[in-house]
Amino acid sequence: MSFVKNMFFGGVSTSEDPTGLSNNNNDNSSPNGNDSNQGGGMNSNEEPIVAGKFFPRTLYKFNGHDDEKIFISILGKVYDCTQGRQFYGPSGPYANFAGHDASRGLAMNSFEMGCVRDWDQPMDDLSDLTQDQRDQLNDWYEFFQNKYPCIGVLVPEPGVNI
Amino acid sequence: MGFFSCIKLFATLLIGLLIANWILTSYLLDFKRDISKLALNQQSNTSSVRNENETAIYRNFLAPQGFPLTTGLGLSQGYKIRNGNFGDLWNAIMEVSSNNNNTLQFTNSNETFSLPQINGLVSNILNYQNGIFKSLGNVGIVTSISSLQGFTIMLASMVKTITSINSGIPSLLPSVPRKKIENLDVLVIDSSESLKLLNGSEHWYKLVIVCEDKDNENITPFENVVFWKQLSHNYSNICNFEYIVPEDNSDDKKEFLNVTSQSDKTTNFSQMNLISSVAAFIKNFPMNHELSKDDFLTILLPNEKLQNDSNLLIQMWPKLLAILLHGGSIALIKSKGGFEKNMGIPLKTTLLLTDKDIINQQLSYLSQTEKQSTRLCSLFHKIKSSWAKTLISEGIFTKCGTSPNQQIPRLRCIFLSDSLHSIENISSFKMYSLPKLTYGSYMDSFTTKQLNYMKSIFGARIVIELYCPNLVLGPIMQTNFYEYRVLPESVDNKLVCFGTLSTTLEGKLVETELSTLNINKKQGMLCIRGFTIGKPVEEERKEIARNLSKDFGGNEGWMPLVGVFGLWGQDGCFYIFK
Repeated sequence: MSFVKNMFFGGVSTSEDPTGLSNNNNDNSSPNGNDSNQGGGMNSNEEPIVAGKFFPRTLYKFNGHDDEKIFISILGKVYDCTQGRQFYGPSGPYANFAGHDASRGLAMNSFEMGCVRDWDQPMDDLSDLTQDQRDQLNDWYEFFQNKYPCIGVLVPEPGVNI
Repeated sequence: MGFFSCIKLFATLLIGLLIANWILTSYLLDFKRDISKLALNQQSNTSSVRNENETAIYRNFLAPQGFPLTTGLGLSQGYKIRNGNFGDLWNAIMEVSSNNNNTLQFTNSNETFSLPQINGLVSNILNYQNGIFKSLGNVGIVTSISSLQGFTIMLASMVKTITSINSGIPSLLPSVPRKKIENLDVLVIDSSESLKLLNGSEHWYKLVIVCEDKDNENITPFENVVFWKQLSHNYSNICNFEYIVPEDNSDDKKEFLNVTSQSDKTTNFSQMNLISSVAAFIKNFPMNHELSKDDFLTILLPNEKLQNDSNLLIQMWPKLLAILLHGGSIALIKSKGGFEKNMGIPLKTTLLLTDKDIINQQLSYLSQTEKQSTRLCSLFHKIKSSWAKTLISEGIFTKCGTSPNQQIPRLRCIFLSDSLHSIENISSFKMYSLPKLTYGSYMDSFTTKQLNYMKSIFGARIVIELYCPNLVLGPIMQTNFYEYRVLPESVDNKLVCFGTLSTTLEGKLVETELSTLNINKKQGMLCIRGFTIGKPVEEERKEIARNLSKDFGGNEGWMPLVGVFGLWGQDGCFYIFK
């Protein structure tokens, strides 16, 4: 009856509280009780990832397939390459690197799966790379540094990678 | 009629009303709304990753993550795209004006001026005494730029930034300098009285322009003093503006304007700041409401003596140039205290840019006149006004509630400027004394209920713009053109909604040590970065700003707005604590 009532007796339609503050004194929790809901109209599943430490196991799911975000690690740094989906996403030329440490593949200019280690293997220390390969890797590192936001570091998980 | 018949009739009526309400709210209103509720609940794009102690990065929904922010006009030159500069703008404005008789009106004259007239005056100034003005350094403007003289000299100085190599830029000063300013070669003052008060300091400048219609003969013995009459002598209308177009974006970083605040802090704006701000303003108009040659922008300025660091006088430029670019007209008007029918603005006005204090005065005038009007008239208007308020709150815009004392028939949008309050902290970048959240600073900002009422009586849409005076050119945030929501009173009492970030900026909230806000609940201190932020001129301020940016954004160009505490709503809008 709200609209008809307002037309006859005066009054305005009040929208829902977008801040969640009306529920209690200083709490910006969402009306459905999920207080960490982030983003304009996003649901809790799309809550942003907190940048920081990643293990190969936790990095793996950000491969553009299991999770639509695409994170790639180079020389211990993790970059958010979601905006380069056409390259790193499923069916892209560099799809193998998504959710992995791509250092060896980029250094050797190889997209083979053999250059990328699984999450349950020890982390690659890259000690066998030649000087040329190291230079190439450093160029790629600079490229990623300039193009994509760095969102954390990749460290070995005790009991899994070390 | 029997008792049962009455009950039957009542029940039928009730059922009829319920069905009507259900049909209206479920179907008809959705079709009639300017914009769906869903769109108003998703006004920002957020980044997929956030740093610890920070929120995600927010952007206007028109500038999605992964796409560039608005950086310019996107002018094509062969296969290249350029951002553009003031020269491109003025060139296009003059070209457009040849087909439209668009005009400008200033605060110190009732006469209107055509663009060829203004361009002729600009050309006269630039070519005065074999182009002495062009070869000199910065132009310090003390006289109000809302006057014909101030405005034209400002324009000439702007043209100079593009056409002359290594030349000076306009420098807006709040008062006559008391000490010599480096590279300030020209001083523009309002009268011969002010000239007398220079008291010897006129020798600091290579040229002093007095904006008075007098000859300098028998008035001043100084050779470097010139009066407006001499500058504008024998000017002719010039319909076009030619300049050599650069081939790349090298002009982006060229200086465009210096603004000095009352506290003697100077900020420098670049060509890119201006162009980005103009583009963002144009972009903000939704489909079918775009700017056109029929637009008439009135800039309603406060009544008191305006100084050139007044926020409206600086922030009006992107809007003013955007309107002229579309062939529209401009009127710069001084408010007469708000107690006047139609606020004293021209009836042709379609867009109004003004301050919230002026509108506040006008509201009290309107409520006074409503009380004095005859009962029948008042009752009829009250019913219409009530309907308008109800419909507008549902998202159906109507002009039926327009006050009889406020009939500006073509008015379609009011831009209400509001400013950040802790501006002294922000512009001094005081990193060592980050203030706590204090309540009570934004109590005079309009609530959504007041805005609903204002939309009904003015018969226009209202866009609230949040400015960061002297530091950012153009608004940092603005509400949606179609915004119609009336928020619950509990929210209106605690927060002010300023909409989403401008398309030239992105923002995030950060946790500060002294603040009691919870970053996980998207509350914190605002940081922005983008293309409309000016840079401090003083080395010391520059260094402090750099360090502050490093502390809060890891050197990624973030500028913390010290003391601006708020939260991101689930609709993607920014809310400041009152």
